[in-house]
Amino acid sequence: MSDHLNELITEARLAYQNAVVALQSADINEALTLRPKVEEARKLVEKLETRQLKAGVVVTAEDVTRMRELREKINSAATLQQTLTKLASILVTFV
Amino acid sequence: MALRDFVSRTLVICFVGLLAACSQKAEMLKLSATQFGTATESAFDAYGTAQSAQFEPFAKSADEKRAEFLNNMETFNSSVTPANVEALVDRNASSGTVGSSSEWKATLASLRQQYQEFVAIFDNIEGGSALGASAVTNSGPILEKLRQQLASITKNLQETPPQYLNRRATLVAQLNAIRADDNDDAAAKKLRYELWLQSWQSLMAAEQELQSTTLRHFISASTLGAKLQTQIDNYAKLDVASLIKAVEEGFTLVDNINDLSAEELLSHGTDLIETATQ
Repeated sequence: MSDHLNELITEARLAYQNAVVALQSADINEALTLRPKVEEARKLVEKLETRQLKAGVVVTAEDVTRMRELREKINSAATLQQTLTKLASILVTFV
Repeated sequence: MALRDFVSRTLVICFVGLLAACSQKAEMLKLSATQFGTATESAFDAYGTAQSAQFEPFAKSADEKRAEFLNNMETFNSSVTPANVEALVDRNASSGTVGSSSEWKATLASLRQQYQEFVAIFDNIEGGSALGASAVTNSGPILEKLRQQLASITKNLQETPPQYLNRRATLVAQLNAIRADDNDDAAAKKLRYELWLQSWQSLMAAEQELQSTTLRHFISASTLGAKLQTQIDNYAKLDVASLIKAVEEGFTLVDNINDLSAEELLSHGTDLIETATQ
């Protein structure tokens, strides 16, 4: 899958470059008609590169929720720990 | 009664001392997490820059823009409209060939956010160092996945490195124009070819630099991620001194990566991919 996608990206990049070469080589009248083709070729490169980027994503929405829960857990622990430290300070003073 | 007072006071002092030691340890872990977070931010910045650079044309001087516009006006045989006026001024700019697609940007932003969420776990770790220690251990499997993603992007960068596509094509069009120009004598044509070759070599060097810079950022982030993984997985066993050493080693590792050549970077990247995906 990865190799196939890499091949498609290479081909799409070449197609984009060919479209730009045609655009640059044409007179302005022809260049105007070639602009949509360049844009289309660029979109294809980006679409494939986005697919490649997404293919490597393994962190899920649940993982993101879990990260927030862990942060919350540490924050709660910090609050509790702060209270306990205050309590210990009071105990040292009065015991 | 005096003995009971002594024991109580000692226990309380030990408790406070324990919290202080845990807090120092947690501070060091937070530093390592921040190192990792900063490295991933830089890596995603570099990736975003490299991806959009692929479609960026060469910058044109004011004189070049003026000459192109005058030439376009001489040959244009239709009506000027709001839709085509930008193309008449600069055919590259008007063809929408600058910047990345919103889908690509959104995917990158979503990835970036995952790493920010991970680093945020440790925002208050020094405060909750003793009672929140289990959360540190539980963050380990998520870090493994985040590292795996960095490895995947590193692999993409090695297999399909970003290229200055638009600039390459512009130079190809220029070379075709030189070849097709019948007005040049042999000496003039040779000179134009030599100048073209210089431009091409300069572009290839810039492209190599773009690829190496991007890859370097991801290798730094992956290396720091691997270091942080070791610290998290062994957090209960590690003392403050080991964690301080780990932070220092992190800085040294990044310095070493900055000194690697393009070939060494590729080899180092392959090693990291294997480690992260094992």
